[in-house]
Amino acid sequence: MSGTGAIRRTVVITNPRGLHPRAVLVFLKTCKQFKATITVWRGEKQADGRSMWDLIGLAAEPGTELVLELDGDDAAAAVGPLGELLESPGSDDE
Amino acid sequence: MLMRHFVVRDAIIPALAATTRDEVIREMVRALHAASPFDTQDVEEVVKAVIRRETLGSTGIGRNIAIPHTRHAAVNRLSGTVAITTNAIPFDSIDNEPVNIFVLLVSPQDQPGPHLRALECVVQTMRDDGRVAALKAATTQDQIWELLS
Repeated sequence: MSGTGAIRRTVVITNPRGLHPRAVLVFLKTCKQFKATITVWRGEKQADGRSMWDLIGLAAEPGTELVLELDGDDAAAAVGPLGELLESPGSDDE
Repeated sequence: MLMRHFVVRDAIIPALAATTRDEVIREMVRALHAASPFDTQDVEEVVKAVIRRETLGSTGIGRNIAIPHTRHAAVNRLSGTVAITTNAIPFDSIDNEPVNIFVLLVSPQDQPGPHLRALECVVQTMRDDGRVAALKAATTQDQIWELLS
């Protein structure tokens, strides 16, 4: 993982459908509110938090542990809302 | 997982007749049902489920590719198909580009793992620019199947 200034938060996917594309879209939209570098890790697998392809590529099922890593001036402000989105049980859509 | 593990070869459409989002979905769902029947004769019900999902947020993932999908009680295993059109179709994609390559997925309602791994498989497969270009140029089921290794 990157620099010492980064903020990290471990999250567990609770959405019964996993981190599905609709949830990814919501995450991407929220990322646009922040300037920080956003990385999501599944073990050693790294995803650019602003890339739909990368995030779908994580195939994060319910129960999967991810590490959200943020680096930048607004990282502290972003970690809460982005972490909560990843941990959200979601709605009944896909 | 490979796309060949869930794509039904006989359901592949090398040249879509459809010209709109909903027509694409209907043509693909019907082709999939014809080649690998669902546990329902009400195919339109599956069509509507895919359209409803698409309405919640486009599955146009960019680079002229879309992955319309649904989870539905009418199926007991993951299956899908691929369709190509030379006349790119507006799909409200994330990059605002129209779509030439469609991958339809229909999954059981209670198996998120295989569904997510199939989506992962599609994006990994489509990262290959050469493969995407070849798919766009493909004109037969066999040509498309060979590109789904």
